[in-house]
Amino acid sequence: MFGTSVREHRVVFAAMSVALVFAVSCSSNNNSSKSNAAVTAAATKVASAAASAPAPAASAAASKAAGTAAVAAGGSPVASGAVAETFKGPGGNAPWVNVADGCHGVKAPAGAEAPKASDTGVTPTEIKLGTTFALSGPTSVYSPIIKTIQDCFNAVNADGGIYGRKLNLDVEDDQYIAANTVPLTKKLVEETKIFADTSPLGTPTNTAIFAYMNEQKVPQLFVVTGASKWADNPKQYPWTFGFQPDYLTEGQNYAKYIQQTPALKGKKIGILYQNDDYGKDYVRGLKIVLGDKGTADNPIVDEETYAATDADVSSQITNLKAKGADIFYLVATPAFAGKALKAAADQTWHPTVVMNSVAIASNLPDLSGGNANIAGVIADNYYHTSNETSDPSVKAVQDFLAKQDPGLQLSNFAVVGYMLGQVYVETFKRAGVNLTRDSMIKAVQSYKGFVIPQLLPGITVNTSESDHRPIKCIKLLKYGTDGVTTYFGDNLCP
Amino acid sequence: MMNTRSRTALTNIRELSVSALLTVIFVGLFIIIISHDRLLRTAVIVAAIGLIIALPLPRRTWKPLALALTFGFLIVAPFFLEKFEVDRLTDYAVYVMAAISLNMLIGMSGQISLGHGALLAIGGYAVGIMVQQHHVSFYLAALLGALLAAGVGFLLGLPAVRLTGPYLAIATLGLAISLPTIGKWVKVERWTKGSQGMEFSSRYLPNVPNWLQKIPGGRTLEVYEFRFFLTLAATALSALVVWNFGRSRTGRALVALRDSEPAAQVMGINLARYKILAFVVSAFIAGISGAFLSYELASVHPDTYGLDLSIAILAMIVIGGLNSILGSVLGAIFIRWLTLNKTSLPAPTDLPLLGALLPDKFKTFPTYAAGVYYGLLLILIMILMPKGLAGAYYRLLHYPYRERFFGRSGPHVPLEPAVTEAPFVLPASDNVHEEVTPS
Repeated sequence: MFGTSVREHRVVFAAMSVALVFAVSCSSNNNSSKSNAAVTAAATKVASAAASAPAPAASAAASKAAGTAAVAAGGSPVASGAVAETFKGPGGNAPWVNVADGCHGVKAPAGAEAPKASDTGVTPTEIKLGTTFALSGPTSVYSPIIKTIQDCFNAVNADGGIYGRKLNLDVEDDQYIAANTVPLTKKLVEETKIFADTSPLGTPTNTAIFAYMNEQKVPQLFVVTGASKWADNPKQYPWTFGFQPDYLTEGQNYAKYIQQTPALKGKKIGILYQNDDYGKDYVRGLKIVLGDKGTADNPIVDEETYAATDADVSSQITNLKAKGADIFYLVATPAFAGKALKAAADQTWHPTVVMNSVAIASNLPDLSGGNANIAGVIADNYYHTSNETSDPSVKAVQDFLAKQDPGLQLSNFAVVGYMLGQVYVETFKRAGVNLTRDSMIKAVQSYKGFVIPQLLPGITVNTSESDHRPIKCIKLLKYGTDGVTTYFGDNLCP
Repeated sequence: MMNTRSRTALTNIRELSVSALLTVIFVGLFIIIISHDRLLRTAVIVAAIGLIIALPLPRRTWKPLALALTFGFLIVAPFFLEKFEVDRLTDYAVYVMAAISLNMLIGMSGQISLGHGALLAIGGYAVGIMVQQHHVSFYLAALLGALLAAGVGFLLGLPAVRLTGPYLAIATLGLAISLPTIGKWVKVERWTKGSQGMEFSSRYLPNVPNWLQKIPGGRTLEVYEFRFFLTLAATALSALVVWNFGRSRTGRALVALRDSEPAAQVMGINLARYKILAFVVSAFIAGISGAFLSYELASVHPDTYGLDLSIAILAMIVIGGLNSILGSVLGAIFIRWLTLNKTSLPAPTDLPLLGALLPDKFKTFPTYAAGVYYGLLLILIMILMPKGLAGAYYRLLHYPYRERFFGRSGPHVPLEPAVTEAPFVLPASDNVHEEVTPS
């Protein structure tokens, strides 16, 4: 009879769709490649940094040379000079040690009042926290961040909690889909009645709850994304805080470096960037400082783009060379950065290369066709990557994971999560025994030169009522002829 | 013609699969009932009680009754539920609307689209750009967005004239991948806000109209309640339109071309015209649902409308039941519920019986357990309920035990249309609507 084939198609199709959905939902431990441009700027950054390897020895040397951070062996910091003078402790005026000290419980000072149910989600024995994160789907590669935060909270709880309160974190899986984030966040805020949303992941997801959280006056703390808008308008959105340097800031930092380096004076800038969110933020940051056409000293002579699906960037390199660019502002993922550097070498174009941190991968020398092609390339970073296991701060993370969560491997995500966990502990400590959302926000805004050992020397956490970007500074690094990176120069801050 | 012996064997298999089906349904309901979701738990219990009461009644009496009760519940519900539960209902309603639009296309006319997420994006961005940047009324923007989506639906229908099945699926897949990406294009960033996405200011979204502000009981209608009623109205309207459409001349023509294109052609149906029409109507409803999705999320972002949205809607209608409004409703709620409650489901080691059997190393399993459950459930449902949840519902309703217990009340419909060909041939229609089944 007629139509049999149509019906068969439908059966095949149904099976196909089931398989697809299954595959999507079960791919939690997938090694997400840059599947689409959707990956948030921050996410991309962390992902590529996961493979990065500034040589341990070099960085350790650099950290000693810089000498600003007070990090003792074993990762336990000794008191640094600066103390948060503007912030008073719950017991009165006890000044805090201004250095993160791992994930430990906090005891109430003598004579402090007993903890009570001081705000939504706070009881005498518990602080309810919640967040949305991609635990399944391609973006779940970032889940070690939230897992390490949770491990940190568990360690704190085992150590007596914070002023006797346990940190109870409820992580909901939104699969990086904003349409899931909204109902899940509403559930957390209105049903679970959480005290604060701790580090939700992603740009589209946070965009969808951004206004809601501020309407509900629920702290949306240290969002894990590289977009810049969270902190653009703290007056309108006082409850939202970023964490890491966003790409916009990083772009601005590079611009300042170019402006302030005498050797680069009078040189023309050529740009190659990936035509998506992260690439555009970098270029926008550069132009905020230098202007749309660059400065008189450093004019922008050409802008080339590539798509993540392109096979080759050599024609873009040809254009850049033809326009006479002497500074090559390279905003690309490791694979494309490698292609671009190789193409530049092949075409005997030898500009000063300023490369984004996303491209710092351990295999960059291979991707670019040899150490010779990357010698002299300038890039940046803001924390010790997981490859620097000889660094005491990274060792501390490794030891912590081995003790607390042996199933979790040391990775850059874990380092970031550990940094976040420590900042949370410190913030709760500063927010005091009488914990309210207001005191929490005041505590988040109280950081002045707060040191996290995992941050590169001299990079500290700084916040205020008008500044919701805790980490803004970066440190430059340079590739040597042997492919090994060395940190150099002062920290760059906007 | 089958002989008596094979008929008995077939009946046995049928009995067995029905009991397996019932087991799965009861386990599913059990999981829902022990879950934290008060909303769905209540709904399931009420529905179960309703079903028990309804079974002895003739269908003609109880079908309108059930509809009236459901809508009655939905209209009173917001006044008893928490805000987030009302928002959750709104969320379900939006997805039901999206599922209805795709079900009309795939279930009724047999055309396949993997690009429905993109059509939703058009509705969403229409609201974002018109309402937020130019302060047009939401209603007008939603309508214009839907018209725009219908226009794209027309273009999407063009390849359908020449392509069928998997080929059409891939052609429409192109739309799902490419269109949302345009939202990130730097040249249109002025309007779309690029990859940063656009969040809505509630100032420009619909306000509670004056005549609704004072409601009986002496309180004013909250914005979220109004949003729910608005979404519910739009969903009910879409359902009504599609239901009527299915019974109309055009709808029957679509069913005809779905079941056999040559036969439909013989009957004088212009295939190209009807296929495109199906795409246009479906896209229009999809556009409206996209507008409501952006309204619910109060934001638009290219990634919201990615391929996973298209696939999720497809899963909804296949799980729910093709060419069935009830299927769209059940499927959308089921998939949404599962997606949003994955992390709250019990870990395998916490399950009764199974938990004791599993080795300790599954203790670290829960993060991934959700995905495994999800996949296993989909496979189980497809095996046991080939016509989806709605199909299973009709199957249970027509199952002989009903007659055995309650006598022959209401029009009895045979379990399957009499199969005159070889027994392995599929039933003649994927239509789970009882109206169309021969009686």
